[in-house]
Amino acid sequence: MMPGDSPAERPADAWLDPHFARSARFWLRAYPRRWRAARAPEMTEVLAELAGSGARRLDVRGAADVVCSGWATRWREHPRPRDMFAYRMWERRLPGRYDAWLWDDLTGALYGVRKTFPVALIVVSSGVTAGSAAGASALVGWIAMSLLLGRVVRREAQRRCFPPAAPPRVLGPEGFRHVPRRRLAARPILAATALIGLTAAGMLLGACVFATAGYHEPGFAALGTTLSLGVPQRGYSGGVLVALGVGGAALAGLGAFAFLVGIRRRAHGRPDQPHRVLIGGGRAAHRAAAATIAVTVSFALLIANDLWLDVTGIVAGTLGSLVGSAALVGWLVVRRVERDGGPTLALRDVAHLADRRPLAPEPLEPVWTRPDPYAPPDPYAPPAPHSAPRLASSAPA
Amino acid sequence: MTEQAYLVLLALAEQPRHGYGIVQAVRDLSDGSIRMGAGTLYGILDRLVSEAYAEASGEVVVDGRLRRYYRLTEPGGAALAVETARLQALAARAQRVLRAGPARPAVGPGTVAGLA
Repeated sequence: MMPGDSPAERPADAWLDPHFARSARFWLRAYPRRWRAARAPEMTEVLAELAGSGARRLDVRGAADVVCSGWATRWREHPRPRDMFAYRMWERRLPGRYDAWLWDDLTGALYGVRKTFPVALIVVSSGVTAGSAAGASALVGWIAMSLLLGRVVRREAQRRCFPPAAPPRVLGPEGFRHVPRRRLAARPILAATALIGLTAAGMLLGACVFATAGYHEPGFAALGTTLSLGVPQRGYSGGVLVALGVGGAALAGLGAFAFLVGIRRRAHGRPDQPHRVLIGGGRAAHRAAAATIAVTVSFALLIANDLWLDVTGIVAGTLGSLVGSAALVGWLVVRRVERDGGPTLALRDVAHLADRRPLAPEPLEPVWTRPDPYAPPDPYAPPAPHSAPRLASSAPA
Repeated sequence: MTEQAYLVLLALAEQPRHGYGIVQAVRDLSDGSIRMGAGTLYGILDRLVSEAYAEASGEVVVDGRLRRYYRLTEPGGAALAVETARLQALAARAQRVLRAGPARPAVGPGTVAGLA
């Protein structure tokens, strides 16, 4: 494949309504990642042409068709249960015909959770035998372990399944599509974090002022009986709460400033990133931030009415104050840097600059596709022998 | 071979087409009775390409629109001919049955009366 042939390297389709493109991208997630890398741009064009001009989103019929076909594709290319079980349980390598699926699995999100799924059985059995508290603890432990170990486990599995010195039988260059890397944009993420963190700090610590010390046993009438959930409140004084909120914010803000000092100078003359797509700050991100703030406000109301432990409000509020103020400082610094000119910063760039590492243009990300059957034929390749036509319906009756 | 797959092959037999062109051709060939969605089309193309009945013949960007063209392969043409012959034979048999007219029912009022 020649450079520039990949759809990902072409300029964005100017004629496509961005709302429609976003809607199509959302529904196309039903397809495997490798399939999307190879064919999503082309299929988006077909969807847009079928929807007609002026369509701002995929209609119900089109979305259902895409979802059914996408899951059918996933099902068709999924390893057999026996191979799958041996792969997950005993790390047995999948047969070569599943290389594309395997590559997607090893590079996809939440690999750690998938890898440690047998632990889910322990979680469920703990919940059944030892009560919901033990089950919840096991669940939290599982998720924490998966997130902590995920990266190491993934790297080790990649080396094992696709050794770097392997012959190109497994990872031939024609098996890859190169797509832009998706990175989190620094400014919207920091702004959202600051907003959520500082709101949480204000609401939760503020709510703790209204929590009265003592044991509260409010009753709830449900199904003809009265349920009571005991809530022991500690009742912190206003001085402690202000000290935690303001002190934490000042401390974290100063720490973040010290961490980011000099970033403006180091970011000067940073290279362009043509092979990168920045995400964050869209409508979905706004909704997620609003939902998080709504949940925080709900918890604050529960605490203020002695229906939820005020100690959790102290912990979450202090955490929000620390994270929120650090993010606010980060957002101010990044805004200043971007106003000086140059490409928009990703969150990763900020971490690199703070760590005094130089920024380099990121290459396109190789995404495994099976040797792409839709790729235009290579004029220099030897002709492939065609198989005889097979038609189930043409067999003599 | 499903009817939709057959129509897709038939659309490609006329000339190489891009995705939307195939959908339109299938609609015309079926006299408007089959309106294929993009998901269905690509599912069929997946199978036809993996069976080497069709292949991508090139990509064109027109006014910023990506169009990947597909064409029929030699085995695809042969499969299409086999399937068309099968449908012709089926249609001929159906014609013979219809020309013969409705058969006398094996069991009916007359038969029961005769037995009685």
